[in-house]
Amino acid sequence: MSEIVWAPDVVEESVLLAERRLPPADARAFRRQRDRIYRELEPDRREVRFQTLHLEWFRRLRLAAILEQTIEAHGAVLQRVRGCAVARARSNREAGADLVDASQAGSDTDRRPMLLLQVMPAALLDPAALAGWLQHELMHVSDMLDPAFGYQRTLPSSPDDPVAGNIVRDRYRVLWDVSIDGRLARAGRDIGAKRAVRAFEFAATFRMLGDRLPEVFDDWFDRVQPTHGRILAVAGNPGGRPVDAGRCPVCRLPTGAPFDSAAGLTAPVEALVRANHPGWRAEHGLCLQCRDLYEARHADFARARGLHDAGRLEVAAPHPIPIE
Amino acid sequence: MPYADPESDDPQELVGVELPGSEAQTREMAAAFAEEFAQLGYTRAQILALYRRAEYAGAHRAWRLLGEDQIVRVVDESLAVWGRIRRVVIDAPACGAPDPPTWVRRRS
Amino acid sequence: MPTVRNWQLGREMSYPYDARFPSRQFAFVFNINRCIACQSCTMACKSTWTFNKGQEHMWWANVETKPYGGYPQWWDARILARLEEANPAGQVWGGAPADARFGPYGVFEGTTIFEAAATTLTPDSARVLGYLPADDEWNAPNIYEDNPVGKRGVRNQLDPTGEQLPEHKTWFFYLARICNHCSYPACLAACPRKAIYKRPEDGIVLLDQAECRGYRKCVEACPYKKSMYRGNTRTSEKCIACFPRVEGTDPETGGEPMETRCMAACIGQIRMQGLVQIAADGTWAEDRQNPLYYLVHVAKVALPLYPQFGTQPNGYYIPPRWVPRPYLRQMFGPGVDQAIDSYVNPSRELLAVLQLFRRSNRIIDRYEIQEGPKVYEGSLRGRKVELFNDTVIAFGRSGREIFRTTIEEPIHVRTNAHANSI
Repeated sequence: MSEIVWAPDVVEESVLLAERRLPPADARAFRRQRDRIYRELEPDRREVRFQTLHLEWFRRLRLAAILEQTIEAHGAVLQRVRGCAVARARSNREAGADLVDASQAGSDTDRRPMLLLQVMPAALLDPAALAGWLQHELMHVSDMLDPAFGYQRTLPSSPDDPVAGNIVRDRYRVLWDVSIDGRLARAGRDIGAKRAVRAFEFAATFRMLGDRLPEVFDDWFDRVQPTHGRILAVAGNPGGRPVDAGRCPVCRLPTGAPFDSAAGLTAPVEALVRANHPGWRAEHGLCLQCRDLYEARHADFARARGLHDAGRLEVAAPHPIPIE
Repeated sequence: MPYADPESDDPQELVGVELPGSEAQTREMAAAFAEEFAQLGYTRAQILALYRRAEYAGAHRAWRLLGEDQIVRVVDESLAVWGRIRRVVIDAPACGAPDPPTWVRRRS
Repeated sequence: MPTVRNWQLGREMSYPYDARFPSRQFAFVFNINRCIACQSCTMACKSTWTFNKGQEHMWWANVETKPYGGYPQWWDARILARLEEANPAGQVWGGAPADARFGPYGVFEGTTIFEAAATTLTPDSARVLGYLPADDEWNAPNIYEDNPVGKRGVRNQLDPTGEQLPEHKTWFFYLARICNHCSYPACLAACPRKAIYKRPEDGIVLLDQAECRGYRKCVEACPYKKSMYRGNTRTSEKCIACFPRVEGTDPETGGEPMETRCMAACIGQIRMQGLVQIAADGTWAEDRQNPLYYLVHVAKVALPLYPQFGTQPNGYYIPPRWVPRPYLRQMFGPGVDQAIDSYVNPSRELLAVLQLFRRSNRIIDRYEIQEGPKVYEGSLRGRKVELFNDTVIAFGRSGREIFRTTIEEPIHVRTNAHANSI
């Protein structure tokens, strides 16, 4: 991999922030040089001089050191990327590592992707936190580059159900983060209090696991060697129940959850479904949402009928289905 | 306009902190807006629009908490006093104005 | 460090430079009770002064929703916290409010940002206690202040009823802010280049772009965070109080001083700006018929924003009457109770002076009231209300009348019982 390319605004801002911690004599020396550049009125020359000065102090203050050392320690990653660029993140949310495909980067012969790191300049001044953050981010990149992991940039989505796509993506992110911090811990890296943080996120995302939650979390943190497919399988169906990938025969929408057989539906509710869908039979089953819907509708009708019978509702109950 | 649920560690996001508030304060807030805008010469419909539209968070929150009826009452009470009068502003003639000078009269 | 007299704090305080007072001081009063955060002021300023490349994050004039909002985020909470750290439990007021131009709110017994710097910072940076906001604090002003988070998957559309939380369950008010053109500016005190100066003729605080070398000490020092760094020019910039207008050089007014863009654009009519006379000791010289003097020193309804910072800001606010008093006392000092009481039960003169807000884009130098007959007497929510057909006349700097306001005629509203009767 060639040298790391630093965006000038990352370099400048981190130097200006670092200046505040310099011994007074050094700070004065930096300012003497920098102040002089303001006398240069030709904009392009002035810009070049600012960038040169900031880069010089960036090197002198060794602000790149932790990031460069950490990346160099990831030899496997380096061999698979064409280069690395560092850009400015303006918030924690923007900060992260990603791969830019060769085609996007306008490559000629080298088809390897570029490694793009977005960091907040202030992060360069906190070596311990930066190193921890980088080892996590680089593990993401390492997975993305590992053929055995089988990473695919786009997750399956349904045009009928964008919400399901978001849910799967959130679960994917949490599982991936858990497995990364778990693998780092297993490798003897110091991850601080991350286990508790990940356990909290996991519990918030996979509430449906109920009593099995701690056991599944421990498995992912302590044992699982994840692949894209394995993460996706759990993200798509955390309960591990068999999934009928078809559509609900009543609402025709795709469903991530298995169809419920109509067992347990009361006769009036069954009749209500049939009244709307004459071809439907109990053995076809229906999705949970439809089941909830028709049970709720039936309850409404029953209430309306009750009010009507008690003389408190002038309009007759709107449905002829007999009330239990 | 955010699209996702808040992330508590993101400084860009709201940190929701419950602050003391009471119905009395909400009423006072509602009354203050009604009185101020009645004094400015706003019509009943204009003032009520302030409460009904979600863009004016303070007034709208009062409307949602107290309900349309109470807000209408507050507005009508304010208009019963301040809506009685219409202030007019009369601009002095501009410097170097032609003779005779024009006094411009306008509603406030 | 020299000492200066801070009339808002009712005491002397240390400041890096000797006191120098302008003959007149740019000052303004904002009536928060009326502000609906329409952001007309914000956009008037933005479209006049900060629309260029590199200024994207700059809002010299802004309106933030309190208690949650702030631009940059949490500016006031952060500097208050730093002061509290410097002087734990000591940021209190004592003494009694005086009926004087010096110390009208009592005596501040706590520590100002200048005094805190001397005790908590290393000598090299010891002029002002402050902090440098990070990128993400400048970004996205007003985010999450008012509107609840939108629904998942529904883009470009506000949630009409705000059912998806979080939602603020509390009182709101809107705090419109510009540079306070302080009498003891923290930005000026902190600048290592002496690039910031206060004009002797009107007290407007300006930042000399030719002298600035982008040290950002002013950004760090200004407790109101109204000095901002511009990355592409590598200089800091701040509100210039639309000084060409204040100087009266706009051809529209024929030499009369004109209010700033943000003032003139205010559709809620919450703003009044003026130039007040300053006495030799730095207090406001008595000028009974100046509307700002009247609001600040006679009616005492307008109060400085966070006077405890010690910069003697020249922006004054009529506090919102519905907000819990402890919050308001922290923000505007101990004068809050009297200010709200005066505002809620206005005198005949105060009612008249409030009619001067935003009737003209000229700066009002003096007002007169011609008393007229009483046109209404009644009560509103338990308070006695009397309305008079008084005529209020506003005069400009030259002594010429700018406008007068009066009441058209009483409108008699028939009761429902007689509606439509002939």
